[in-house]
Amino acid sequence: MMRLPSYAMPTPAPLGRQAVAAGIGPIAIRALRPGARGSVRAVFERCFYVELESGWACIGPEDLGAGPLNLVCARWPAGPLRAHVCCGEVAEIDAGMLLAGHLAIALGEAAPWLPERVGHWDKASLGRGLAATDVALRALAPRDGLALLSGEDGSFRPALLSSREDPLAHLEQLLAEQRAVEPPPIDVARIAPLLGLGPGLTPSGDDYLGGLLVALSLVGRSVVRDRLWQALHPLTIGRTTAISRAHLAAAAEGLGSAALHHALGAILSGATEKIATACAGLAKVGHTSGWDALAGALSVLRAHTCGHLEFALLGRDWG
Amino acid sequence: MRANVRNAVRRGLYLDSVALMRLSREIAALSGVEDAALMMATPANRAILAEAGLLDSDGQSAGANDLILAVRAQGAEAADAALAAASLLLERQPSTGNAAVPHSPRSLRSALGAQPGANLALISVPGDYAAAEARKALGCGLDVMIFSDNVPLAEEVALKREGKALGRLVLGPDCGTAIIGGTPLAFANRVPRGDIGLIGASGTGLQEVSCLIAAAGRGISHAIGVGSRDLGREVGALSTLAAIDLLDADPATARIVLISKPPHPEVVATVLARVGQSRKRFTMCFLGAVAMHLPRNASAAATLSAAAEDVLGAAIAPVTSPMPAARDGLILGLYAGGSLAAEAQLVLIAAGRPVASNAAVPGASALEAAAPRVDRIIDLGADEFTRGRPHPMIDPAVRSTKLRGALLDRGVAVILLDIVLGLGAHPDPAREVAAVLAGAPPDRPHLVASVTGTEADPQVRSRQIATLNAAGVLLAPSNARAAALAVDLARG
Repeated sequence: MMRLPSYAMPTPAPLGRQAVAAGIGPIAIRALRPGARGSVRAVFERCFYVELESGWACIGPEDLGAGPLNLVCARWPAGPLRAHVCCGEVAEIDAGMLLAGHLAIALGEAAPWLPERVGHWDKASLGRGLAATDVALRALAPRDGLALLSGEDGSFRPALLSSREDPLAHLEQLLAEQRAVEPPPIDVARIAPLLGLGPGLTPSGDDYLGGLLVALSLVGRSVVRDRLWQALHPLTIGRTTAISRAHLAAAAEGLGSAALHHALGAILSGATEKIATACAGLAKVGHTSGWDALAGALSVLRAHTCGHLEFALLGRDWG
Repeated sequence: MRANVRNAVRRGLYLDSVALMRLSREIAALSGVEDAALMMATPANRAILAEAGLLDSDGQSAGANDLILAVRAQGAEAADAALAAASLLLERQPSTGNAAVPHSPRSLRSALGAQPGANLALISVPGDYAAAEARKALGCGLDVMIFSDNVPLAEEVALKREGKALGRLVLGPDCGTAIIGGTPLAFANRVPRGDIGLIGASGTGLQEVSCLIAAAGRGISHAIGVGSRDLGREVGALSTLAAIDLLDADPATARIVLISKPPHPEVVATVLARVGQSRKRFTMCFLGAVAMHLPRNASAAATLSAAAEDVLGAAIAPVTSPMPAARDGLILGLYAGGSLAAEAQLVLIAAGRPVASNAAVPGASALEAAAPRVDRIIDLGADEFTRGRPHPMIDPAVRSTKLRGALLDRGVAVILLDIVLGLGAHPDPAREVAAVLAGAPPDRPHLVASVTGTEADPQVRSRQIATLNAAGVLLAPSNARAAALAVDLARG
């Protein structure tokens, strides 16, 4: 005889107070296309992830902040999010709405989000920005994760990396030698230990690599970025979480969180007065994710100030 | 005392970093715990756990999307206690509930060992493996009901030929409903025994007709599901013909109803030829079929409701409750039952309304090619909605989600629903619908439904009707009547 499963029946949110999407990132636009179907894959305190047949999206209130996977909403329901949506529930796009669990989110008014454009920058402005960033990091960055890796003297080695410095050494070498006529081969096996490294939803190692990919885009090194991603991408399956893989894929398109782009813009343009505030904004991106991504991005920017990436400026994409 | 390590793995569970760290701290502070960690089980993190002496064989086998809870404590007893306490802390997080699974046989042979008198095997395994299990059952001398779908067509044909050679009945594949000798199998209703035999290539078609018969105070001898492809050209009605033979020879069966989507023309001829050889009376309900030349002992029914009326010799009562005013807009059907969705389309087409569906009957258009202002009948039990998730008869979530959206759709005048009860179905589908309606705006579309079920079903038909009535749903005594009522209530 078949067994009947038991069912929880939470009280539904009043339909008259459904949330309204205010902003949407480019990856979320692709994922939340009309007719797409899937399910709720993770529910946290202030946001939830859906995996649709067209990709991943992260849905939350406006203070979640913009990002490539993010759909941020006004009129976000009060109370615990888990009263409205649960892991495993159906998610679909129907009649211009994202329907997930007991949430109905009108998508029609969502403003597309793209990273802010970086103003004029050069080696001098970047040098000023990096110096101000070191000060900010010493004051603000947590000791968890990889943030303090990017400190000026490089003497701090997080516990997470106690025996895993080889990937970073190889990445530094890659960044340093990319101006060679024949760029060195990428030994992906040496970088792979960073993938999935760290306890969280998006492990610190992935965030670091994501920041690095975003920064390579910003300084016009999309060829290096693409080489690195082509090497890493096959390894992401099985080495990290599905959600983190989606964020890494976005980074490979040059897309990080709005907070990361804001901070990198301030650093590149040497807007020293903005850097502390911009870095503080990274604290809102996960527990250490924002900081970890900044650490990866700074490895690229520091390589540039050392002259390693001067060659890159010749073919820089200023858009 | 030696340190002991214990790991627990939670498959597919995501927790954010803050929650992971908080829990790690709480677990590490538990009595007797030397060290603890809570991490996504990526290879990199498993390596960290191994280096920290926190990984055991369970954790080693976890995947990147799993969560590892690892503790190390002094002594086995302390480690076990710490893991249990840590698991409790983790259970306070969402999505970690796992129902205990009672003991059940893991093979056909062990099942037969426990129940040597069994004469039928119900196979419900992934389609790729169903044929092999069915062959084992046939080899053990059992009739077979294959609940699984996605069984290769060639395997279905071969199995049915093997069953025929062995004198055994093969129901399915994709057979969701059967009642054999009064025993409901899979999705079926508790209906009284009687003298009407049913053969159906459709699950909810069998359910609707058997429940309408029960509502009229009559009963059925057997309801034999043959699978959705049996009346196709390739299978050639092998199971349908075997079922006709069985019911024709059954002294407890006086009349026979055959229910299916339109069969292949060559197969129709074969089936009707066999029907013509019987001395019993047949009702042929081929949903959406064109007119056929029937033998003298057979009559045609255009809908499931008409089939029940034909076999009962009496009309199903009309809707008598007061009706609200009609609204401007379209009819949207959100169906769990495929045959019920087909029947609704036929009623709307007969009323002259253009209809589109993801499971279009002849005369309806495909949903993706439909004009924007046509009625839509959605079969939510179709593959595109059930891939990787339960059928909406088991878990109405997919329909609830669509229903919430439809309630806000100004273009919809009437929402048409089927509420399918019985064994295997959701324990309280009416309550699910009522819960969604509780949050609906006051000017929502009309809700029209019928309840396919009996008083003896676990959900109790009258209770379901009371719940729906209280929620403001207009109820009809059959699905066809519900569709007709929707036509009356929708202008446009």
